[in-house]
Amino acid sequence: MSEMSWLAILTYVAVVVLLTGIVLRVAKYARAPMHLRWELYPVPHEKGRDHGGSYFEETDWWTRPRETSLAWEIGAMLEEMLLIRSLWRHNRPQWFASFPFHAGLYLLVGFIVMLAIGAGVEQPLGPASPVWLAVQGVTAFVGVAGLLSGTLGAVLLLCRRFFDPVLRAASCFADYFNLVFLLAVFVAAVFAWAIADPVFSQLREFIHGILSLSPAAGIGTPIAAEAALASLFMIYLPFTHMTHFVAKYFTFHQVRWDDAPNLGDPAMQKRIMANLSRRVGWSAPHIQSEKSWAEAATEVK
Amino acid sequence: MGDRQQGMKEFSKPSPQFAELRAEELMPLPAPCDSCYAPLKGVSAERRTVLEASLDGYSAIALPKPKSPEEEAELVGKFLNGLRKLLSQESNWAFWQPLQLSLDNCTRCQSCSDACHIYEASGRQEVYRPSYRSELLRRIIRKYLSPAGALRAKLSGTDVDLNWTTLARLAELAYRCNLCRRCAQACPIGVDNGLIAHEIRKLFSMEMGIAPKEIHQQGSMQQLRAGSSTGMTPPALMDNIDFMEEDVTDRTGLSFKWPVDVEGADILLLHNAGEFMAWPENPEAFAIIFEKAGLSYTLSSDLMGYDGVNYGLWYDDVQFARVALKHAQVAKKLKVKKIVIGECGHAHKALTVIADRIFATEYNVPRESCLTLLDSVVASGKLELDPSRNDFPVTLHDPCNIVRLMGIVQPQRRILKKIAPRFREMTPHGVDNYCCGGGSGFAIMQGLNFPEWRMSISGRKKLEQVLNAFKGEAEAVPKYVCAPCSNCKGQLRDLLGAYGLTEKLNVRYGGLVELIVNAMPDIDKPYVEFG
Repeated sequence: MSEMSWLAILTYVAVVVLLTGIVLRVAKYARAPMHLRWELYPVPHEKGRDHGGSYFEETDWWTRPRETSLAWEIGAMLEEMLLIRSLWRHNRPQWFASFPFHAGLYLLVGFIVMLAIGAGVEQPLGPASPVWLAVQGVTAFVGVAGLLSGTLGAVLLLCRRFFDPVLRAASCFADYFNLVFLLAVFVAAVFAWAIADPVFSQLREFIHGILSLSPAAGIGTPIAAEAALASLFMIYLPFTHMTHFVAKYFTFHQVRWDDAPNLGDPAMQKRIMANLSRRVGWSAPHIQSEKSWAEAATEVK
Repeated sequence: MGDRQQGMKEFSKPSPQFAELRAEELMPLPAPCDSCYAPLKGVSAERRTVLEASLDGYSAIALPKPKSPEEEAELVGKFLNGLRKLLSQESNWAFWQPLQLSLDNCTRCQSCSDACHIYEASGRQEVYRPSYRSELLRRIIRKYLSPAGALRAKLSGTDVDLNWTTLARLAELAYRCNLCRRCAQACPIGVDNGLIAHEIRKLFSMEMGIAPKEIHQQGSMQQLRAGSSTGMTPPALMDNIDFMEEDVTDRTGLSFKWPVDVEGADILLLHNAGEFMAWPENPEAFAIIFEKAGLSYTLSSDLMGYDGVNYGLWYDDVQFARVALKHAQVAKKLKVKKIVIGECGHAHKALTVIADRIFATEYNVPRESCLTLLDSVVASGKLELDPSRNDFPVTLHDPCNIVRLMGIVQPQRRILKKIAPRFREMTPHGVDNYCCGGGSGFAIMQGLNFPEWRMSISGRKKLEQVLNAFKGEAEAVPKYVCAPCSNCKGQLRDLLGAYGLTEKLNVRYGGLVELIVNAMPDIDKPYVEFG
């Protein structure tokens, strides 16, 4: 098997591992039993969101129609995802490192999407088409911006971890390793772009080959190194806390912002009854471990 | 920052004391408290031989040391069993998802650290970082409950041994957090270190039977047995009500019977029974307001029906469910339209928010905050109120359970703006408030040397806020800290006493209803009295 084949296999394995990891992680959280309410205000879909208010601020709140807005919630989520608002508010020095890092990652996701689009339209449009030139230009801009921003962010995050005494005390080997690994991916990509692939045509060709299930042969060493490192990182990612981009949906929507009241909705009642029928299981002397929650809650030992 | 970093590897190594607190490193306080209280005596060498205080020299739980290696091994085994249950959807359905999310996804960015009043007040002691105990738990889980854990722990440099020292220190460390969740609010990912502290407490209580006696044996167990965590039985309650009726007449000239066990009333008013004993002026003020407003309400003399506390919220889901269900049953029996919860923060959150998803339809009686109801009463004009009677500086403490954790922010402010012309906010306030330092049971944990830690560390930030709120006011001017929560009042009582602020600055604390009654022009004597 040729060298190129190994790279293609590695890339396919990486995609499968990453997607499987993400799906499993989503499934793990999504299939959890309904937990007790544990919201934290402000809750952005509430009309009192500006001061952190809830429907509990109204008398006989259960008799009034709830005034919520999905748009407010989505707005808050986008602000949180794209601008990392809570970090800006609560940990400004970290934001100055974390924002370029995450912005770089977002741009690079966009870059890969643009490469894929370019791979699909290059042939039909032809090299002189203005649309193709626009696609090529945007791809190059997004790619270079993403790589530079990500590299800068990774360096700053590493520096903060290393030089900030509080962060340093709280960090373990994996924290440094994760950043160094990602930095290596960024640097390899910058290097490949700078010396061998100024408009990302080779990378586009590689992605075209992967997407069309006919991996291109004869790819240059800088691109191969870039793709190999990126693939290894994609394999590593699901086993780390860096999948927090998956978790964030759940921590915000299903914990911090989940203030849905129990007003007799049959689906919620069903889930409550299912939980109460579970066996308690705990073994302290004051608990009847063999009983169900419903029984243990009504019979005091 | 303190210059003594306590590495996690040392956590499991036996030593007299893991973290050393020094008065000179604590967060400085404004005058006149800059030098008025700095005990930090810790625990004596003699007591240390029998009592576990090796975390920081303080003991919240009064853990006795195991007497033999066999006993130690048994405790470690129980802990691991409990840890497995904590991570099981079946045993820990109540909090499995938020716990797992918090365990899996921390990036150790330390946004939580600066949000924590305990970490800041201690002079940034490493061991009090909100993520410190969470990380310890993660390392134990990784090493003892995951494949090739011991090897991975060694290779990654995250090795923590599970022995008695680790267990004892971790149990104590779970009680160095007020569960105020200010740290969770600051986390960009939504990791909740307060929840992890809560879950560690649960593990110790629900599997090993280990919890501070004030919140377990003398708290929720006593409440389930006698009817109240104060030990007050139904006959004792009736005696107390007789006394309070007479007291209202003595203080205000008003004479009326308090409604008790009135079936079909609109409202069941559920106080924290500690109010009846420690601050009777609070339920008395409620009675005056409700009587004058013509509200249809009742108190209950049924077991548990007169004590809204639910300490299980802080440490034990089974105890929590038992108490919450009893409260609902009492309301059901009285056929009331709603339960209104008095000035008690954790009772608010326990019954209104957390219990919401354990109530099947038959027990799901609507619950409402007294602050909301009082706001509507004051706004309705049913009470004649003269704000000039409250012409002294007033500041508001936001109980975490009512504000950050329930979103009730404006009603109490609307009332204060109407009745207290010299009201001023603390900084920060509302959902960004700081805990009083007595939250999650600390205010009632009076045993051993824990109150010293509570006064020196966990209450320090609130003390600073109170002092700053009254900055510039003459010492003799009466000042009022309005704290609509029993637990917070207990903490403020102890703080003002320990730092001598009542004598030095004429600061007093109390609830919101006392200020409302104090503004009633038809009551001759001031209801709020200053020294």
